Amino acid sequence: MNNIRVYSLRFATLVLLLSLLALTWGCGLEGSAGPAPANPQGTEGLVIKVSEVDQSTADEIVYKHVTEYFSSLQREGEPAFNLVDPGIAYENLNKSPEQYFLVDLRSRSDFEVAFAAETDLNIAAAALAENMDLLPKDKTIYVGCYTGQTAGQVVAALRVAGYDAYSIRGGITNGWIAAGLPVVGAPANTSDSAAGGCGG
Amino acid sequence: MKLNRRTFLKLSAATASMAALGASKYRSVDNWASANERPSNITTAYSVCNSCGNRCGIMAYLRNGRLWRITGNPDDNKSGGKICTRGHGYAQMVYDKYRLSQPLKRTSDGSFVEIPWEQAYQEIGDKLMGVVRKYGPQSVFWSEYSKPISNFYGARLMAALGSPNWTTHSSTCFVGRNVGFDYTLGGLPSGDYENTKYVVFVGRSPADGMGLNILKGLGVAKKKGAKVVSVDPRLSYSAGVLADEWVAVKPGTDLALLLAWMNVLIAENLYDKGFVENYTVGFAELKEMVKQYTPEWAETITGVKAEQIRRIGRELGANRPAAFLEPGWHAAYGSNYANSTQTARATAIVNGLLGNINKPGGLCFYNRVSFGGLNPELYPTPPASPYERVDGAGVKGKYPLTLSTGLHHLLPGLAKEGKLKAGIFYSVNPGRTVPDRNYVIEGYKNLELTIVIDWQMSETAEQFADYVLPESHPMERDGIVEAIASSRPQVTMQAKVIDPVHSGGRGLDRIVSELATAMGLERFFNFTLEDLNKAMLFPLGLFPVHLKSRGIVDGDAGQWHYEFPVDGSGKPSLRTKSGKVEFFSSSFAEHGHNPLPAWQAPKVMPSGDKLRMIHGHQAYHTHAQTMNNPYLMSITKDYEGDSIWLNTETAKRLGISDGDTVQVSGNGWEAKSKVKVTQRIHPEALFVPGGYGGFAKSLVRGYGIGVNINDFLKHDTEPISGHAMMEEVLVSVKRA
Repeated sequence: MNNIRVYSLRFATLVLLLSLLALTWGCGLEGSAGPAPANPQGTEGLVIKVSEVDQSTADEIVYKHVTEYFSSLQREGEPAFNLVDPGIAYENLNKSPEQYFLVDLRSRSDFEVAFAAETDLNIAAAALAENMDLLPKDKTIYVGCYTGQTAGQVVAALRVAGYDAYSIRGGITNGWIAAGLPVVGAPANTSDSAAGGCGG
Repeated sequence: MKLNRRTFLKLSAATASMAALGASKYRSVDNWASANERPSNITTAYSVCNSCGNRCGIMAYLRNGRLWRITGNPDDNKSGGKICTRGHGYAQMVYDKYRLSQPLKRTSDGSFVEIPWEQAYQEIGDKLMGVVRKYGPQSVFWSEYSKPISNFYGARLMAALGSPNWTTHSSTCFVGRNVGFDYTLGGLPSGDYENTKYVVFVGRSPADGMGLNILKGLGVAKKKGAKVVSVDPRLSYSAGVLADEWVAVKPGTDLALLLAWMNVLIAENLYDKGFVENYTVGFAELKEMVKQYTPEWAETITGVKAEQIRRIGRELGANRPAAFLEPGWHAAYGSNYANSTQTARATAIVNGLLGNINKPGGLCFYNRVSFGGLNPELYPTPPASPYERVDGAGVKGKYPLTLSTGLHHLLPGLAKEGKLKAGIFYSVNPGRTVPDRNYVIEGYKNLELTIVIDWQMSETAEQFADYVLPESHPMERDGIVEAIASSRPQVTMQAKVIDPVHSGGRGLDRIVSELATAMGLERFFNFTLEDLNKAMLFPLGLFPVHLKSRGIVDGDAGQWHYEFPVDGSGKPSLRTKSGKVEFFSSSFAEHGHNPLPAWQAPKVMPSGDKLRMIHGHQAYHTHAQTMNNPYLMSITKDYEGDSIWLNTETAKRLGISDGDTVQVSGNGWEAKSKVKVTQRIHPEALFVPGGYGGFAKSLVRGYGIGVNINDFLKHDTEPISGHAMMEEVLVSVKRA
């Protein structure tokens, strides 16, 4: 199978998963955990791609990925889901920062009010498509939003794409902050820039 | 310095110790070398070159996890996507067998022994705090080759100790230029090289001293017909490649040439009258002063024909505002002559007369992003020191006009006077790079505690370090985020590219933080480098991962326009006292200096067979830092790059031929060197390539190669900006 076809099928898998989860979308929208759009933008167009490939093969591959995805949710000694307790996330991020990566999906304005100092990236879920290069493949990615709903979908998609991703239970607002874990506000505006160097 | 037997034995013991360390410590290098033989697996990573202060963006290619090659990052506005010879050579030093890998402590016999980091921190911390308690925090200093990471951590450590004495190498590099431009234009603008029609370099050679964006920009401009003029006692490689005209000025007399150009521009009404009226102060006083400085007068001083001076002045005026005098760096007005600061002022003034500030093809004050800072509620900021700087930088009655980067060449003398008792040297080597070897060594030997932080040994480490702390190679660690100023401002950072070759080295952020902790100052260092970078990037909406993943990112610093800087009410807002270009500097007058850059001769002038020794960069070396680099030293060897230069006519008069070994004498110092006889240098000058003359025996590849101008200089200081005077020296030369 050529690379283009593999790509299409993976896309189809992703689309399927996003479609399954679409009804819960909305937690990452600015300032609210309000109702989700019925049909995520762009999904319709992507479904057409599925029809372009051999349907029986696509079904097999999607089925395989879905079962693999559900299998991936099993972790020894932990709840059978792709969730991480905020306290454990905090502990891991501080104990082994080189192994963990925290993504906060909340809006910039809400992020600035209170955020985990451990945050490695604040980005809207909708902006991830153009910023996938920022997500490390050699680290465990913790994803948080307001309640955990958007993060759950993002994590599902990331795991299908091969990332080792977990959603912070309750998100940043209702999970991390509600648990009383440390958060900070916007840092000082005073410059810490360097004094300047030598041209050679 | 004349080595006596005791000193020699100490050095030999130190060398033997280093050799022994090398034999036991670098087995892992072999393992890394063998990685190259395995099947290729190429990965890439972004970072920043550390081979000089330009800090160009790079892309590193790794083969099986081993650094294989680097290229320029094409997104970098500063480097234009290119890197130079030095960059290639420096990167590969990560695998060099002479890298330091463990803290060293000097023993009573002068040799060094390895000690664990914890012991080093504890001993240094105890001794440093002992000095602070006994003599006060003002007796401690930090000295560095300016880098973003040490600008922050060095200054913060000094503040945490209560010391005001954070210094960089600036007083032996560029301080005269900066002071001159600061008090005339309010800062240092950049040339709009690509769009210029006419540019004059006064002493600067961007193909030797390295200005990759300059070279790239001029390449574009020249295709459109721009003219490039090089004013230099030496026909540099830049002039050879780029210049349409070489003005072979008598060294140290550039000020006279600049005054004559002011004369021509004003007398022939070639200056920008509208600009002068709206955006300058002191034109009447300037006009009156430069009446006397005709091209004919300047010819008698500079040796340049009046006709040539007048023609270039007219060409500058005809091409304005897309014409400029390049802001330069070290040579004519960085830190070389008694008249350097005023020469820098004069260069800035000629640009003011051309009205080229923020004009297409002129000099531009580009935007730069503003970084955030650590939240002081979480990370307490050390209070400012209540003491005056001991070097007098910024101190009324001493050097009030100079930079906060201090005057590091004064420190050895202050140590000898007992005003300084302990010092930390970071990636700087005053033992070789500061004028007057005996003054430096004898001065610094008075310190009660000397710590060197570097990834290799140096003259400084060998001569007077009590402890040497090994920093990891820049390829092995993250750095601090950096702003790139341009019409499209950018942000970048040095990022870790490979896992450490040696487990013993540490980044400066860690060394300083752990040392501070050992001294009970951990409250001022309760953050990681990652925390700091996040805080600095916060206002930009960026995170370190943006820079690590993409190398260079555009920063939002507002739209830049070709317009003279004005404030909200439309008033001129250059960072001078008046907001305008200051032909007349009331600040200079206030502190007893001439408010106009009237002619002032250099301190010494050649006569008879006495020649002025001058120096300059080569494209393949950075100061003395690269003298043990096998790749770059092979270029020196292949091209006899350590030879001094002598003019053909002068050599003929002295009976010297190309390739001869000659003896050079001056100020009580003598040295031998091979000589290159050429018409590419002024008859009254003798050129010494920079960085050579190494006398650190640990740096085996550079030991004893070439001569160094600093050995022929006597310690001296220019009175306005307080810089060293690094070409105020006359020498004799004869066949050896």
